[in-house]
Amino acid sequence: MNGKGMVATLDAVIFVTVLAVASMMLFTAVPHDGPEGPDASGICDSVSRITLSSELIAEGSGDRPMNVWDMCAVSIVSGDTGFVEDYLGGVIGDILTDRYGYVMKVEYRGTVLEFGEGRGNPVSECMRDIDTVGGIVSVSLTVYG
Amino acid sequence: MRMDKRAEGSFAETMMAMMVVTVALTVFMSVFAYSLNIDKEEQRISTDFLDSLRVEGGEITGIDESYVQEECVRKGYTSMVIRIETAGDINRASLSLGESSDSDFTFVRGTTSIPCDDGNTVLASYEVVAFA
Repeated sequence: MNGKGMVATLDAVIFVTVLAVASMMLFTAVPHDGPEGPDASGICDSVSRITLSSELIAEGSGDRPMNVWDMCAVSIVSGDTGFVEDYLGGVIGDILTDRYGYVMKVEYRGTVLEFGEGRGNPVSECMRDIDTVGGIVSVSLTVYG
Repeated sequence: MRMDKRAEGSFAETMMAMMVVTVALTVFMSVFAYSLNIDKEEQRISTDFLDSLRVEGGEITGIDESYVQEECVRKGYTSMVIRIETAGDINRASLSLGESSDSDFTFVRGTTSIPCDDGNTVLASYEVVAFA
C-alpha cells in the first residue's frame, strides 16, 4: 500500500470509530424504557405511608392514627397478627394483581411474620429496617413473576 | 494547501476533511439526541392531581371530568382515561374518569397514598392513559 492508501485507510478507520462512539453516546443519551415490572422497593415505600386507626388492632385504644409498621410490631407482640396479615396481604395483592406472586417477611424482636405466596422467579426484592415506636421492624419483600 | 492536477489532496487536507466530517456528525448526533429527549418530556403525563385526592364517604374525590377535559385541551390529547382504586379492604373505593379511544396512547401507572375522612391513609393504584 502506498502513502495515499495508508491515509485513506486511516481516514476510514477514524471515521468508523467516531461513528461508533457517536452512536454509543446517542444510545445512552436517549432514555430507554426498561422492562415493566413491579418494584419491591417502591411497594415497601408506598406501604410505609399507610396509616390506620389503632382501633382495628386494639379495641378501646382511642382511635389513634397508627402507622402500619407500628401496627405490625404491636400485633406481633400481642400474638394476634390476623388483621395485619390479611390487610397487608390484600393491599400488596391488589397492587401486584394476580400476575405476580410475593412473599413478605416482617420481623420484630426475633419474631417473624411471613405471608404471601411466591411462584415463578424472583423479579424484585427489597429489605428495609424501619424505625417504629417500639424499635426496629425489619421488612423484606420479594416479588415473583 | 493546493490540490495537484489529479485533484488529490495532501495528508493535511485529508485530515482536515475528516475533522469536518467528524464535527458535523457529532453536532448532528447531539441535536438528534436532544430532540428525542424533548419529545419524551412533552409526552410525560401529568399526575399532579394525585396530591388533591381524598376518600370521602366511600368515594374518591378531588378530581372530576372537568380535569380530564382541561388536560386534553392543554396537552392536545383526543381523550384520556384516569383509573384509581384503593388497595386493601379498608376504605375501599374506586374512580374511573374519561373515555378510551382507538388511537395511539401513552400511559403511566403507579401507587399513591390517599387520606380518608375517617383519619386513615390508604394506598391506591392509579393508571392514566392519554390518547393521541
